[in-house]
Amino acid sequence: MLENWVRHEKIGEEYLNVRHKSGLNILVYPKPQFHGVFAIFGTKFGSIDCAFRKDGRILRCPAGTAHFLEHKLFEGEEGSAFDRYAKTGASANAYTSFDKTCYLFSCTDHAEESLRILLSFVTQPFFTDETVEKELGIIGQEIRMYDDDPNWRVMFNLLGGLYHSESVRSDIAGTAESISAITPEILYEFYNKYYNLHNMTLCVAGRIEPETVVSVADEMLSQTSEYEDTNVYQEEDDSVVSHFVRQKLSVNLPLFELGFKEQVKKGQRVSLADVAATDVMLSMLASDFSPLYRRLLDSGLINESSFGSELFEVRGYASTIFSGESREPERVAEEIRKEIESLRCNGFTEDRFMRSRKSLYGKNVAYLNSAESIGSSLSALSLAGYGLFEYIDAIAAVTPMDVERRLAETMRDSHCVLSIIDPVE
Amino acid sequence: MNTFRLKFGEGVSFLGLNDERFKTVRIAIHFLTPLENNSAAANALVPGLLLRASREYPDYTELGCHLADLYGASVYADVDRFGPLQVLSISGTCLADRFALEGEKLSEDLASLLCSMAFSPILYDRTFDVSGFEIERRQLLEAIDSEFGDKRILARKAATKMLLSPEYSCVSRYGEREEIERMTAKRCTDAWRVMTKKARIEISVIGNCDPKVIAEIFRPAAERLERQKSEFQFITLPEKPKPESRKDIQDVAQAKLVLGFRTGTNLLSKETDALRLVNVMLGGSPNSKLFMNVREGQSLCYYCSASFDSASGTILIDSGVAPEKVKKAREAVLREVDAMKRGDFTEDEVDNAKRYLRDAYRTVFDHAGAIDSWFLYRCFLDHIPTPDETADRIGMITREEIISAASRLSLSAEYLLTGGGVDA
Repeated sequence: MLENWVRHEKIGEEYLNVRHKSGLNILVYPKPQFHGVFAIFGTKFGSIDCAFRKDGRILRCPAGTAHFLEHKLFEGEEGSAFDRYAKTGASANAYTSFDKTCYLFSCTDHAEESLRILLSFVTQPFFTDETVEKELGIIGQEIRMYDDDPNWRVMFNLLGGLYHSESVRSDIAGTAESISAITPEILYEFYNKYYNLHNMTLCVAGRIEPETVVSVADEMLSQTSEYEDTNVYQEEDDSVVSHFVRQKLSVNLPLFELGFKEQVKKGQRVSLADVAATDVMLSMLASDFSPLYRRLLDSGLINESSFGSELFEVRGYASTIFSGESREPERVAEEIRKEIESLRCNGFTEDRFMRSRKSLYGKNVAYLNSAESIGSSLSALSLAGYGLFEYIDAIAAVTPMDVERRLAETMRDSHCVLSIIDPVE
Repeated sequence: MNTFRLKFGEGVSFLGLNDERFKTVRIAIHFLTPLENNSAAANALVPGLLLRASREYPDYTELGCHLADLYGASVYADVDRFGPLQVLSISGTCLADRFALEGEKLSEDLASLLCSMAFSPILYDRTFDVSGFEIERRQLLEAIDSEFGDKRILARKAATKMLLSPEYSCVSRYGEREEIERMTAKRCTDAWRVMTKKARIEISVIGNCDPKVIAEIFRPAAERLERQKSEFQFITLPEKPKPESRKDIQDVAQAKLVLGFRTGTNLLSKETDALRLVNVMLGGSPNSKLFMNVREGQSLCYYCSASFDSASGTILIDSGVAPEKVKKAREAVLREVDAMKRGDFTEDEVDNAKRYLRDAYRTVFDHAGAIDSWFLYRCFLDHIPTPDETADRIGMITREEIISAASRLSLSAEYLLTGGGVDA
């Protein structure tokens, strides 16, 4: 078992990084003065992972399988994981996103027992025709709920305009039709592939000793075979599908998302340095102290509670996205494109760059304020292949040239899609 | 718990908590005032207007740049409802001073800024800047419009209105749309003046700093306020003779069913803790009756949960359900409520709920925002119990007290938002 302490001198904190003998990567961030413990157990299996090679064949799963698996794992052969958590008082949940599925809990007492429950139910799958059938009704309702959600729909419509690959265009939960094709056999096949401990991370933060976490892992986990990444990634053409997508829903105020597609190698990620540089770039371009933001606000084109920007970034896909509510979304899109071009052509001052970098650095340090946010950040970064403090240091290391390079390489009009949700008349 | 409280004047309090576990400092100024038709809209605009600019930074972007220079400090305006009260808040968060690379006094800077905004805002001819007001008014109207798109919020709001009327004001926490449209910068400025005079004012600083230093930044401005004594009444909502019912049709795929219950209690009632426990047992956790029996047991809905508002003594049960299953879901929910009233629950259910609540209370002090809310929403109590004290009290609640509390639930409002296809 390999272990090392990772320390950040300026923040004055550290966490233990363990490669457990089972193959699992365990990260423990002790915060002995907190009351609570937060644990999150994640695997690199999300909605974009819908095919892999095995024994010379390609095995495919219906859209929504990763999410369906997440629901079903809570129901073990001896009962529900929630029933077990009830005895410890832990508050538990789980989520599936594009490239990962995570199971988590927070508690104050009985952290050790709660950890045993977490490791046990996630590593002991039990799927039958009856339990699969039962879940169809619940997930069907979840799908309908998201069908009505304008924020969800504007995003997935954008992805539909940006990407040709079904895996990233498809709703994370799938559709009523796609999930009806899920069987216990499919669940077991994909579980056995992706829920390999070498493909997973356990992160624990709060009032707990690292030795306790490792000891529970020793007790609950067996050694697993090495994980081989045999994911079959869909080909993704450089072009966009459609520059404009529009849908009507029951809203009073239009929503929009403006996305700029980047070319990313199949199965690869944007580098951490580029993620950091993009975040600084977006802060300069569109944060609430930027000239663009002020113009849009004063013109009545955006509001403070909804306007924002981010880099959407998962294995094989990346896009810069601006989003918000506006009565004139096309005008907002036009103003954003003009500002990008202006920044690209005219450059920016040192002051503007330093301010954005300083602000982002401060916000990211401030974020590490609770066991939940520490644990969640640890998990997200480690599943992406990075250490927690690496991102903060990457922000501090961004240079004006890095931002200029990202401006030059990304946010091209030719790769731009505008998604709008309009009110039903 | 390292808290101290100061009184700066009639109805003006300061809470300080130094906590070196946090990397940040959170400072908030809350104005609590009765939620009334004739003042709600003007009041709702005030927090946003206060935060747009300050005497030191009279331009919106200049202010934003200054906050960015404070290592990404943020300021927030909030409008909330607490039973019969409207809660108008401005708050800010910054990194603790020890993280500043050049020894900057971040928390003192933020405190001075917020104090200036709250009690000495920048005015033009004794009025908020008109162009800034126009922007804030537009944004408040858009906030109301935006809530229309979140069907769960929309349904809960509609049910809450029915549940609390006629005794409480029906007006929303933002005020009525027509009133906002008619509003002027002058009326908002007058509203701010009234708030500084009559609202209960709670100032808090929580985090990695010396709160006594921050207190002295607020003291001069707070003690200079011309204050009038105000009384706040938490009435007890009586049982309604018949539940009020409403159905709305919209183009939605999933129906939202909300059932509202009165309990004849309020914030100061001795049954409040027992009702919190009832709420968790009924629908406040993944082991609750609603989750286990209505969602998991009968696959009737994706979510089905209960929430308790201690100020008004009401419980809302809301669910997302297929339109064709609404009747079945309604019956299933009411069966579980009846089960609680009859005492049809096991000792295990009681113990599970007590453990869940105890755990939740014990983590309150791990989050600055939760600490602020804990004290804010208990500021009317003579003695504010700690989360541990409340957790211990919950642990001692008896089966008889649970049944007695549950028997108070009286169905008073039913709201259904659906796209059609309801099996009526």
